[in-house]
Amino acid sequence: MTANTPKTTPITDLLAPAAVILSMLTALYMVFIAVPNDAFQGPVQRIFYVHLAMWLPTFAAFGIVGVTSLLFLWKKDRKWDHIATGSAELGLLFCTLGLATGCIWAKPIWGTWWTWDPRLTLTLILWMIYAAYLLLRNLATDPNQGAVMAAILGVSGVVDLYLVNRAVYWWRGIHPAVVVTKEGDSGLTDPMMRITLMVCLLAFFLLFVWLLRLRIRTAYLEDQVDDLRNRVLVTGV
Amino acid sequence: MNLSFLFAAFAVVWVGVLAYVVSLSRRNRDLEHDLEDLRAVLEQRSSNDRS
Repeated sequence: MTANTPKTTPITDLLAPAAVILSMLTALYMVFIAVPNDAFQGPVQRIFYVHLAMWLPTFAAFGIVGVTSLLFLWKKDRKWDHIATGSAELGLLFCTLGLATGCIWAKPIWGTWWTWDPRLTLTLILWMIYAAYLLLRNLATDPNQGAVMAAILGVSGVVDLYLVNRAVYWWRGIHPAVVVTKEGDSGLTDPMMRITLMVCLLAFFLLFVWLLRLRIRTAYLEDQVDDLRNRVLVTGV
Repeated sequence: MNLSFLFAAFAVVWVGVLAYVVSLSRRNRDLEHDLEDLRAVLEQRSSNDRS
């Protein structure tokens, strides 16, 4: 038996994309016009706002995968599996964009696209864990077994999520440690830089919430289609 | 030169997000069509059974 598709109302259907578009336009205005240039890095430092904004949805998405996978393993309710799958897909999207923008920023600043810094390496491992999670879902011959195996992987991925967060403190690397709180020479010293960062974080987090709603709806529709296909097969015999 | 890196970063983000939104809306649209077709088949069969 499948659960019903989550209810959507015209108000939330209109409000959510409107809020996303408005916050995105504000973020673009702030990044390209309002915020001053960084004294050392010049205009390329502006990549940092969008690069950093990718990590809040990534961490939220993979955190949600961990919690909902655990709930799925415990309760065996498909609802948690739908949220976990949608969240993993979005986490992978934002993680990919975060890694890509990081590489583009690194080339002019570090002189290389990629370096095996602890945080970068652990983030690449994080990307691989959740890419494997989605592959497992798609390639499993038995969907229920695939869901259980993916849920175990989803829960274990949270360990790497914690390591990514702590890497800059535990191991010596070249990745900047803290940008919101001033620490030594790092940090966003100008108040407008901090506001711009907060607006970008909000804009991409709203985008994540909106896309997650849409993606969960897709998961419910897939379930309903599978259920009806089975009924058509049964009644057709 | 640095400006090209700045625009490349934003282009990557927007192309990535837009590609995902388009693919998601296509998936949803296809699934809704499938759902309608399957419901019509079941409806047809149940009306045939009744007659």
